[in-house]
Amino acid sequence: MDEIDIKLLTALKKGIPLSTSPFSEIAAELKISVEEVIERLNQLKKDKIIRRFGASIKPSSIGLSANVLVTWKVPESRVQEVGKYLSEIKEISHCYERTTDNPNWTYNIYTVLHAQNRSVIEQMVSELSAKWGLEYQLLYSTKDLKHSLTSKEMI
Amino acid sequence: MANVVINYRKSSKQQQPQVTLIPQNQKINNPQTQSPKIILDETDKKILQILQDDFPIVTQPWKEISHRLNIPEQEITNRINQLKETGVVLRIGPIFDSDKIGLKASTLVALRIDTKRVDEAAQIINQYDNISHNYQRDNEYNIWFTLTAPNDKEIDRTIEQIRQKLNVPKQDVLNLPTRHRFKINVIFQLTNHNRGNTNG
Repeated sequence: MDEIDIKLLTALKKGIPLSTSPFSEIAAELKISVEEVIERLNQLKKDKIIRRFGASIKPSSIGLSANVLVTWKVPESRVQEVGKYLSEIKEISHCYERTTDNPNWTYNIYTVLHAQNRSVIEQMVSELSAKWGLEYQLLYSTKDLKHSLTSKEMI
Repeated sequence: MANVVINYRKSSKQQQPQVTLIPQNQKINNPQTQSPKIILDETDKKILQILQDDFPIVTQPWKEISHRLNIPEQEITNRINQLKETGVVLRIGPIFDSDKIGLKASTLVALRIDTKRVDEAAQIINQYDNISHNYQRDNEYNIWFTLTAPNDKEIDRTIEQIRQKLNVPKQDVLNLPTRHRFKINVIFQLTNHNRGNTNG
């Protein structure tokens, strides 16, 4: 990654414009050719610096109204096994192992789950908990504090 | 969006049942369901699918999408404009792997704060460029956000700065650094056509 790549990624932070040739606008801004912009973006994608290029969708707008963060207490010896299992579930978009230094908060696996309502979520999570014998907490999101305040800019 | 079948992207060989949406009136009370109802037709869904997981990085991407779907370019851009205006599409652009752009440290932060101060806190938190998700959640820790930085020291410094700006005690802040990322895939399957696995 060189300086132009960094400038390119910075210019694309808010996303591409909806003009006929969006990458030409970015190219003009950086004073390079549109071909170079396209070539660089494809290379960054190939190098996995860009994980994905595309639209971010608001889950609630497509009927996935309930989004929950589930925190799990998983014994150290089973973290790999449980983490891999949870990652296979398509309703789970994120699955992370996290450390904590707070004795009052000892959850170590964190998953984000999207579904159309809370009863679907509760059913799934209680089945998973029973299967692995895990303690968990459901943390429903009640407000998107980033997009509700800056949605105009994000668009 | 009631009575619509949503197929999530398959994240493995394992076949999971399809998710069927229940009618609007059966939804339980949840602030997120109170947003205006947006109706997407089959064409919108096809466009959204391409925009999410197969966006053409070419000189004229809308024209390319128009060829693929055999729909006039004008209609494609009108629909995408509409999808942006109604908040279905939040952004079209690159999603970086933060640890590959020098942000080696990442964490999830939780705050316990008076409900009346949530919006005030959100405004302060959102000023940081390296904070990507920020949600109010129904837990004693009621604000949760993710934070990335070049190193752990920088993470600690940012959290401490936010804590001081909000004037909350140390025990009301949880710092939960990432130890291992098992999965991240935020692509929703809207059409029956499946293009295979992607890590998105």
